[in-house]
Amino acid sequence: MALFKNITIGQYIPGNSVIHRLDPRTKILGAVLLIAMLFLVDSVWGYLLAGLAIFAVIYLSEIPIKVVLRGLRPLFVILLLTVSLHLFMTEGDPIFNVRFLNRITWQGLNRGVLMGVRLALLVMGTSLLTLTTSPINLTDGIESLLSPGKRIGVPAHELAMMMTIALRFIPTLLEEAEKIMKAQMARGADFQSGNLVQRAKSLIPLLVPLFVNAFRRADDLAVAMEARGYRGGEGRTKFKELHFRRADVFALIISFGFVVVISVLF
Amino acid sequence: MEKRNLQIMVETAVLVGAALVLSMIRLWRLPQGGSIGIDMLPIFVLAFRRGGRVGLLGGALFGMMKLLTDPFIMHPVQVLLDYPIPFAALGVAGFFRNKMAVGVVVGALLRYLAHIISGVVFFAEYAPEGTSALIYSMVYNGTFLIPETILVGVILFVIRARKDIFEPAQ
Repeated sequence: MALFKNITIGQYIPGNSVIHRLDPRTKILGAVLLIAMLFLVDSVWGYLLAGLAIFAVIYLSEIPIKVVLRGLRPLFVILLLTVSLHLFMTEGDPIFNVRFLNRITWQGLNRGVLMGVRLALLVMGTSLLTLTTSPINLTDGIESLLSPGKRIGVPAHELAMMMTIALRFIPTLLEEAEKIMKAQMARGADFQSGNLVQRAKSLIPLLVPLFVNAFRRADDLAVAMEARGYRGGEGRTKFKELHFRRADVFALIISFGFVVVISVLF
Repeated sequence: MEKRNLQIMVETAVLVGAALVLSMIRLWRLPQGGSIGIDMLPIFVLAFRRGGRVGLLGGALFGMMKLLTDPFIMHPVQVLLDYPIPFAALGVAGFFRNKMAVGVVVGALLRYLAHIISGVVFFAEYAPEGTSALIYSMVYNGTFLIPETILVGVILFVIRARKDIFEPAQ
């Protein structure tokens, strides 16, 4: 069963912090503002202030800093590459007057570090969104943010419904995959050895029943939805509605103000 | 909502769910940090079963869900070129329903193209001038996409005749 060990869907870490309780729309807009800010500022002070703001939000979210930093791990190679390329390839005044090292310039060091910091802040800041918001809440937020597009033909409700169904089916399909694997292993199937093509072929006894069952389930669900009178988004009500609270308005005003001020000043 | 549309919508959603489940299986780890999996398979299956338009939609949706569950945001354009666009591109395979092999190759090539452009955009933003972004991006993306495409291609070839997978009832 090693194929399905230690699986988590998404990065969401449940909690009850100020950030967790914000409306998902507020957090999505906040993430967009954050991306804009990091591309607008272009100075040491700008990045420093942006970094402070991001760490303040991490503190408020009560997410352990270790978890946020762990998100940088896949970035390591890219980060290293970015910093060292700038370090060696930017023209300017050399830091060392030694033979091979004279390609390292102050300007390069400056650019490299700034670009590296920007990358790290982007990845950390945006991962806060998914760390503090469950996928289902995000889906609700996206539906609501896309709904003005309905007039020009954006199927906001249908997209959100499909995302919700997909999320709902992940545990079901996982369980099913596990069951099928056990059944096939009992018949002597081997999922773990051989080269790439052999492994691909060994997955077929798992994949075929998985697809066939998935289509059967989809069919059942479509019939059930139809039987309950599902007609799409028009006039549909919700059990849990999204509400902008005072904290949301406050958070949006602060973030927007902050982004405008530091992009203008730095 | 028309019955057939509802059925297609639910099927798309469930297959996107299947793609997310399969994306958790890592068959092979690559030294530079990437890995080889078969998450493209459900998108190809959907495209061949319901056609190119549904394939495009399902692929884009899968990309968006990947972004929601495991985001890696470095640049606004990179987000589009790494998440919705490459997976939607796989759906183009559905326009070649009678020639699956062609469909798989075209879909995978388009996805490759999107990732390459994404890499070039990234380098243009983050690397100093004069870095050969194109070559690096082509090599990097090729290291995982070529084996993944072969893997998925082999599986599709073996199961190609299964009517219960590729032909919807009625």
